[in-house]
Amino acid sequence: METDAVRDQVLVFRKRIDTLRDEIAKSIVGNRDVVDGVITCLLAGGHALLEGVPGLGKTMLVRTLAETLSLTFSRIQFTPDLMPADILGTTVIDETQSGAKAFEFRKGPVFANIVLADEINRATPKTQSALLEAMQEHRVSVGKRTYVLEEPFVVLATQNPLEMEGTYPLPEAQLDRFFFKLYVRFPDRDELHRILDLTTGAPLEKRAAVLDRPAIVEMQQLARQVAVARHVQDYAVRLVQATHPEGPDAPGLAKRFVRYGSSPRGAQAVLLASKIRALFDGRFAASADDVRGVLHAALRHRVLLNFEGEAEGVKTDQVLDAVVKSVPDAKGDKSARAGAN
Amino acid sequence: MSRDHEGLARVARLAGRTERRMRGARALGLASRALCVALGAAIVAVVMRKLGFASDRPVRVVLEVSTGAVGLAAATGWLWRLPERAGARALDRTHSLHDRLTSALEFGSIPVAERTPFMQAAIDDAIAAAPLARPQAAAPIRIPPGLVPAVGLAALLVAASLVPTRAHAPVAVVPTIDPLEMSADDIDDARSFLQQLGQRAVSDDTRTAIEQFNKLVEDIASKRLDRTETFRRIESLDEELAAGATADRKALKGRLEAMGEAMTKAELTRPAGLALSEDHLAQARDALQDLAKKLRGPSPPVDKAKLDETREALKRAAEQADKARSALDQRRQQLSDEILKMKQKNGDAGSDEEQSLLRKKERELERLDRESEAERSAANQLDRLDRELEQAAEDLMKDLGLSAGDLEQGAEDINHLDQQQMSQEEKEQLRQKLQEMRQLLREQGQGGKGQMVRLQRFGRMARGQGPGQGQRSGQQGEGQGQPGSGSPSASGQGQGASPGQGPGGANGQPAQGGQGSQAGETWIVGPNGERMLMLSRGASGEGHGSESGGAQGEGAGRSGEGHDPHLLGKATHPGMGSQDTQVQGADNAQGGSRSEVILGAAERGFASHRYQKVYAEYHQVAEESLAKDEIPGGYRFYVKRYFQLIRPRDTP
Repeated sequence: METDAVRDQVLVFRKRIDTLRDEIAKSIVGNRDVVDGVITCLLAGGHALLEGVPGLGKTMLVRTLAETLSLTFSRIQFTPDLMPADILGTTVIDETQSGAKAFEFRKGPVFANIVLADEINRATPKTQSALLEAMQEHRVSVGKRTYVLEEPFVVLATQNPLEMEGTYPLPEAQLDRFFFKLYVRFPDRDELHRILDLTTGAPLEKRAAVLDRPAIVEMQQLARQVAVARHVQDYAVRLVQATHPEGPDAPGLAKRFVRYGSSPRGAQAVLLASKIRALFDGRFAASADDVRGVLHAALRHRVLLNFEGEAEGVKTDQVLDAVVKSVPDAKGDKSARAGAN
Repeated sequence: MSRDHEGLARVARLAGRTERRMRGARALGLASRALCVALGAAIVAVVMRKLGFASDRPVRVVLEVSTGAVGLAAATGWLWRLPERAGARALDRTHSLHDRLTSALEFGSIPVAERTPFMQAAIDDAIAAAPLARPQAAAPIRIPPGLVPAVGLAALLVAASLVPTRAHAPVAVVPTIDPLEMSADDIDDARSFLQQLGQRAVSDDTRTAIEQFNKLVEDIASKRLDRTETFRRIESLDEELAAGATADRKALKGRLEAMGEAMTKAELTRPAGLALSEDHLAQARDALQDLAKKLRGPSPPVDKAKLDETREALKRAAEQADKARSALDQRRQQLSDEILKMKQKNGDAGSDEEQSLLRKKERELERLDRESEAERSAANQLDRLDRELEQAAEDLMKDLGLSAGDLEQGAEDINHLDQQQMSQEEKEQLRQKLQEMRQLLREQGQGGKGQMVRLQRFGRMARGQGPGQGQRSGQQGEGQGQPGSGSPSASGQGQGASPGQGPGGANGQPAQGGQGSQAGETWIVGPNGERMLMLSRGASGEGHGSESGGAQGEGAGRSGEGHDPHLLGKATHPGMGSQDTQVQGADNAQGGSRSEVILGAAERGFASHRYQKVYAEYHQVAEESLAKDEIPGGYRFYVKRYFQLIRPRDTP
């Protein structure tokens, strides 16, 4: 029976995910939601933007993820003088064995499965756009040739919220290309103890690869097969619509402080992430809880505040909280309005 | 698949039960709130009833409406639409099933062939989880929040119900009208007029009309009529009076005159003829009755010449009607022919002169038509008399007794005619009075309340009750020295001199004079012209308050109280006999001049004997002028009204 196969597949999926989480947890303390978010982006084929102050283990997380997934990893430290060629690669003149000289394309760091773009907001827009184009197209065009990037291709970009002076904030259109925006928070006391225990003692062992590329591809395909009931999809749509100031059910906060709401890409991200989340839980269909669970990560970078909102210091997460409160699970069901799960 | 079907059905049942519970909880919640409101309203209604501010009916209505409202709230709570799959969602939410049941029901509605494996797996997952779902937990029916307050209110209601009920005194809503106001003076005038007319009335229908008029006046005086109703009744009465109008007076008079002329040609009928031609119907009646007696008498006049003469006279008198009518008809026909000829000749295209002549002839014809109509009406009236006279003429040659009988019948007819005329005259007077009243009310309506106040004040002053006049009604001018009212005992003694004893003084005409009036002392002019001191105390209280005629002396207030220290004699013995004496005052024209009388009336009112005489003289002149049409039509009312206002009043 197909359903049996599906159950088995989901079971395997859960096992793999649990294994992955456990392996990552050996190196990364806490930030379970960031880890799940990064895994979700990987399984959805999307990219993630990680924001957090320096020293929280963002690079460590990405590197650990790459180790556990048997995927190639590259790190790009963005600086203001970084050129697009530094990311994409360049053509050089090389001597062949026969001694003849020929042009050879030397691939840049973007040619990896997992690319860590550190402090992406420090590079110039030109350099940013080179990466963003690769993110969108999963290919690189150099000269007349186009190089396809190997799947899975995930870009995990980071932003330092402290040193904004002299940086080039990503334009909204570029931000929309990131599947998730994840906040890496400062560890709490217990977590900090554990970090210190892990990192100030014996050197950390390299993590074992628990998933390979085929498994990841399989998991990616499985995620897209998860069923979504119409009312759940409708719920996601109404949430996205409520982020617009003129949308139905838009809360007062959105009407006052939001300039633009989320694009349809945001709704796609919400729904896909909900499916993956349902699979994390071993379920076969996404639920409204799943939608609420992924809403902030999927939409916080897609809702643009107006000047008043920026001046008042309103956070997009506050707006999304208000949206969740104002939009009922089902139309006319006022009893089912819930905060974040 | 059947397993799926059963599983889904079970899930659906669970969802259905949950939804029913949700409806029930909602209905209970709404009903409990409505119950609180209803009990509150019921308490207010019952308290109002107990305190007597409301009757049973409104309380019952409030209770019924409140009960209905509770039922309606419960029904609304049950029937109001629930969101789609609210029951399944409530189960998912309560048991943290992550929309398993809801999604399963949705996937279950998709045909099996179209379901993906994941959908089917989701359905199976939900069916497996269904036994865990409890509708009672998902849709608990808790105690409604309004129940506790409702219980408290119910207790209050019971307590209020046990309070004894005060009698409810409904405030009667009396329909009120805006009554028409007429001054007391005008009402008195109307009453006086009707009283006088009633004494003279000879016919029943006149008396009936007077009664109706009286009732109208009394209703106005009692303020039972508003303006519309008053005018309606005046109109109705006027129509009734006009309906009985008999023949045109002028035409009738003309006929009688002609008849009388004819009857004067014979010696025996001459007295009757003269009376008829002078419109003395009573005399004519008597004359005919005398003639009839003569004819029946022991020695009737059998002179053939006289009888022939009489017969001819009676016959000619009877023929007057035909003569008059035929002359009129001939003239009418002649004029009608002339008009027809002129129209046929000229049509509408004649010259101005011809058109003017035509119009003149047409007007003449209209006048003749009216005359003819009046003549016919008079002829109807006199038809019987004509026949009686004619029969009398015929019987004169056969049997004097028969003729006498006819003449007596004729006399009766004349008597009836006389009474009709008198009745008609009285009706005309009534109608005229009605017209005056109507005009008066119209004027007063335009004048408003201010005019009414002025009229009321004028009426009081006219009766001598004006401000500063005290109760000195009937006194006119100081020093006028009118002879006293003729009480012999009053002259020179000044005690027991109750003014107004004796005829003429019965209207409360005190001994006039009133000079040097100190409290209790009045100087009067005695019958011989000498001055006499009359002592008074309070209201006509000379010594012992012997008052008749209602004259009030100075300082009228409390009569018969106290004791006058200025006693001039012994107390009257109650057992003493008395002798009635009638005296009459002699008018020796020693009163004030006409202008003084008028001036005094203006200052002190119109209730004096001297004023009555002066008024009568002026009023007669006014009546004559009105009768002669010397006063323009638009001012006649004002002249009558003026004299009505200044008419003499009785002393109060």
